[in-house]
Amino acid sequence: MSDYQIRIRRSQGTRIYKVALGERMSALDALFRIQAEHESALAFRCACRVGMCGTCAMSINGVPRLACKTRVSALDSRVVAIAPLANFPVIQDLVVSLEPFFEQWRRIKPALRGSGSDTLAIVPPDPVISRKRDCITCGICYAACGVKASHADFLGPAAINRAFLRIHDPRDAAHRDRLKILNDEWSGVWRCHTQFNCTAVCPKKIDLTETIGRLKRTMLAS
Amino acid sequence: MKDVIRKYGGPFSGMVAQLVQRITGLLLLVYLFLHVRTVYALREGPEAFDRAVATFSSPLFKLLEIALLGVVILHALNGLRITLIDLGAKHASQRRLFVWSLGAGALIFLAGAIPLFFSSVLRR
Repeated sequence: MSDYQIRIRRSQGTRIYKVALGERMSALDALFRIQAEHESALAFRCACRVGMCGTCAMSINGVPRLACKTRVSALDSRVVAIAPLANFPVIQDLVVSLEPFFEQWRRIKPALRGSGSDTLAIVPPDPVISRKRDCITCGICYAACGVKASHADFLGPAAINRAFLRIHDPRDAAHRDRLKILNDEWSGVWRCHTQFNCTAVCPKKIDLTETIGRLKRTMLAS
Repeated sequence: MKDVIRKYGGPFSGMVAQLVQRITGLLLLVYLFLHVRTVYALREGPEAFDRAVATFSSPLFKLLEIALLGVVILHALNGLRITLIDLGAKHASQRRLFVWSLGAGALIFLAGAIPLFFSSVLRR
């Protein structure tokens, strides 16, 4: 066990807690320990604890990550700063509202809009695209996006990735509508400045910047 | 400080590259304005133009000229990196491309800045 100083940006201001953690313990374990030993009112979200649901996304040492998949010992620092995700309104302590994220998500019409019997067709697997299906809508890419921080209208990487998957689905019949939304000068793919923040932080290792680049090239070609 | 270096030298290095591109772009815009203003002085006669050229011949402006070389190199090489990425270059290598552009930029800068420094700043 090693002693760590956990600095949490809570709704009332930053609070510092000292906790002893084992080598394999995660940031989420640290939060549970703080809740049990120091501050029972500390608010944070979690569900699966194995990196599948994306609920425990938060900023850890300045980088948005999943708390359950972040080993404190791997951070290589005895001081760990935990804060709510950037670019989201805070509800309480580390709990944020994902409403702005899903507002953009809805804009790209995320559901499959097939035409008749084609909707039941079996799509052959595509190795490039199948990796992009792993998105767990955790909002980490949205929080890391530098463009999103300054342009509230920007769709954000996850919504664009979802639109990309629908556009490349042969069963989908609404790709023209989606391309029109993605082509918007202010909120579409052209707003992306290729910063790679989203790709760097995605817990599912989805190359979101590459998705946006592909869409830009698709639009130029058409 | 260690955390800041780890963050902006690691996952957020692409954002640093974009920031560098923006800052150098703005500096080039300032230079362009000065350049156009100087050329415009031709309209006011040869004396006005000579005065402007004399100002730019001072050691301070010669140092700024060397800095301009650095700004142009950074902007050009980083722009080339972004163009390659936009054209579909392997995205996984974007950080390596940034480091390479900085390294190559430093070499080109030194190759141009050293002779410039000796010939225009030290000679005065």
